[in-house]
Amino acid sequence: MDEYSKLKSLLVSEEHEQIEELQRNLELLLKESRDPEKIIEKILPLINPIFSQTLKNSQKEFIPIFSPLISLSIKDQVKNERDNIVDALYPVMGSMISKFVAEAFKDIMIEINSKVQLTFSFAMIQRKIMSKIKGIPEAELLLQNSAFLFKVQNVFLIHKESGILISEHSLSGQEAIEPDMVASMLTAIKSFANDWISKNSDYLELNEIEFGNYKIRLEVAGCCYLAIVLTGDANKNLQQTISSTLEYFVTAYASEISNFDGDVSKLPLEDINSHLGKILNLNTHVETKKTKKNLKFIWIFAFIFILLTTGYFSYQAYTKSKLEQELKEAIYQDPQLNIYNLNIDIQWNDLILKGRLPAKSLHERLLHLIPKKLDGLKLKDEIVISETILTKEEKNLLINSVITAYNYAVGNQIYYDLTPSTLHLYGVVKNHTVHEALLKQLSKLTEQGKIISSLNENFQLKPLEVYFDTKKVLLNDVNKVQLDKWLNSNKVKNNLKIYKNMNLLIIGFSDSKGNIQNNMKYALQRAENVVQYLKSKGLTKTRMQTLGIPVPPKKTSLNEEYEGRVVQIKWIKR
Amino acid sequence: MITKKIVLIGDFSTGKTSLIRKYVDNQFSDEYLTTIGVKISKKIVDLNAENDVQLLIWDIEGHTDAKAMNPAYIMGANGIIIVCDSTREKSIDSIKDHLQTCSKLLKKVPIIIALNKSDLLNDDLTMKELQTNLKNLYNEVEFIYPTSAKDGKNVELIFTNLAQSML
Repeated sequence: MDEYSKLKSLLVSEEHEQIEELQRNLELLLKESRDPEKIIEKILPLINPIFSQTLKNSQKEFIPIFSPLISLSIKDQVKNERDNIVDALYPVMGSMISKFVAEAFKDIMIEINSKVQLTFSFAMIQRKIMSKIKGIPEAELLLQNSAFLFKVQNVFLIHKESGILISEHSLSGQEAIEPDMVASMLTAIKSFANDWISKNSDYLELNEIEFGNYKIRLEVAGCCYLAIVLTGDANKNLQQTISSTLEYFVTAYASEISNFDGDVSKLPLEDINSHLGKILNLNTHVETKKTKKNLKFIWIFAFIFILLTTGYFSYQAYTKSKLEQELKEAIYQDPQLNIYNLNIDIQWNDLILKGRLPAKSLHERLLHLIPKKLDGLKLKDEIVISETILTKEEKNLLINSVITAYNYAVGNQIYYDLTPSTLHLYGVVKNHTVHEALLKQLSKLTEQGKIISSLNENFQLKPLEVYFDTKKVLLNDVNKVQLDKWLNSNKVKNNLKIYKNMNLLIIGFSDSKGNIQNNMKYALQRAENVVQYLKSKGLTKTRMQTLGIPVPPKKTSLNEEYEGRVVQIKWIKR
Repeated sequence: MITKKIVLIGDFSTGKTSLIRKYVDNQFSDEYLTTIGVKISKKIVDLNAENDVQLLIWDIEGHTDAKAMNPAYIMGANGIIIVCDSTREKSIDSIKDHLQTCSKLLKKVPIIIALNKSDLLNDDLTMKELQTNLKNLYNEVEFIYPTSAKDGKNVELIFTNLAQSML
């Protein structure tokens, strides 16, 4: 090595090494920059912070960039992993749809309710009663009633891919023949329809197979499906139960069912069966028998109701007509009222009195006839009191009726004379009280007219007694004076004149001594002699009757010393 | 009881329906009736004292050029029998396509090839050769048997063997 080289190496060796070092580093970097693995290794830790930072700062710019990508990914996912997506979404979609359906039902219900309220029928009455009893809106009952028509016969839970039956439930007596074959066949039919109609290109499903009155409802999830054989139409309740049952299976046993290999013992069969049973149990609540029973009950109820009401109304009508009859009779028998055209009518709950009466007193008299207790009837008094000035005939008729009524009683014999201004009364009344009452009543009838009463108040019917000596039948002087005095008294004269219907009974008695034949002779002869004497004094023979009694009178009040030898003169009614 | 789904696939007129009929009902008819859609049969196989297997045998319509198989029928199958007509080469060539379909639609399931109508093939040697060739070609296949629905050759065997393999 020459001197120059030595120097050079001494001076620049350090720099040279540095240059070589740089060169190595450069080569390494160049090599790394071409190696993607190294680049990734270096960038990877930075990606997350970069992303979060950028997303934070410019979220809006990123959305349009990523949106198409996300849609594409979802489409791809749905295409390739359809069943997983269905299983994942089923619970969400199920409740979403249920909610929507429930809302729709509410609207329908309101509409039905408004329509139902406008129509009238027997079924409606029945429904209304039921609705009131149960406290359920009528429309819901209407829907439930329509559900009386459905009946679930069989429920199958089937593995979707293989068509192998997982479990089956049937109504007793409606067991499916070869349920395994049915399950496979249903799956095949489903696949056939899918292939034939939709060419397996979209995700439509066969939902229902209809055969006459029978329907097979297919409710399909990702890994399994339910087939329900029923008659009639599925209602809201059934539909909900089916959906919720399938939803439950998918949520609880998705992986078990997906990996089902034909060995049912690996599945939680007990729980699955109890849930399938729930769908069948819907039947028990809507047994047609029950409705028939209810209907029968309603008919019996209606019959009893009609019977009772008819009975009640007939009884009411009977009592009313009886009362009406009684009142009419009472008026007819009342001499003061029966001359007026009075009308008694019972309508519904009213007792109606109609007619025209000339005086308040008569109106009061009429009201007096009506019983105080009317059994729920209301008295409707439509009597018109026309206190106009009465004609003489009307007045006469009124007075006549009052006086006739009084004359019915024993002891009264009243006569009257009516002039335009005065009413003149004569005759006899029983006593003072009766006299007063008569005058009061007549004064109401005659209004301003005057009443002159010459009525005799004390009508004496006390018998006259004429005594005889022993074995004597002829009248002595004392007897004759006594008889004259009696006959000429005003009272007797008046009585004979007024009481045309009264006669004199002349009874002869004897003492109790001697034989009865003789006594009889004496008694009769004594009576006969009195009659003869009275006749001689001018009394008509026809107004006298005789009677002989061969013993003393029971009570000889006057004179004991004559021992019953007496003739009594009594007033008797002809 | 364990239930298994078996699907018989193959070209049209290879004797799928006849094999099943022979196996299930022990009947045979020369009359050819084409299958439309699916026909399902059931047979309980008594393998041993404790294992009864219920086979649900899906007889699907034969594959033709005009109409491809409905993949939904094959889905979920626990075992496959590919049936071909040993006298018709085209039906034997189709095995490849059938196997492809199966691998696409199913997880690993046992597959058996039935070389049917063996009674029509006079030469035993040809059959042996055919079997060996196919075995070499498709080693994923469990068994390859010559069968005859007419004389009942190996009919019982293919079903019971498949049942055994599925467990």
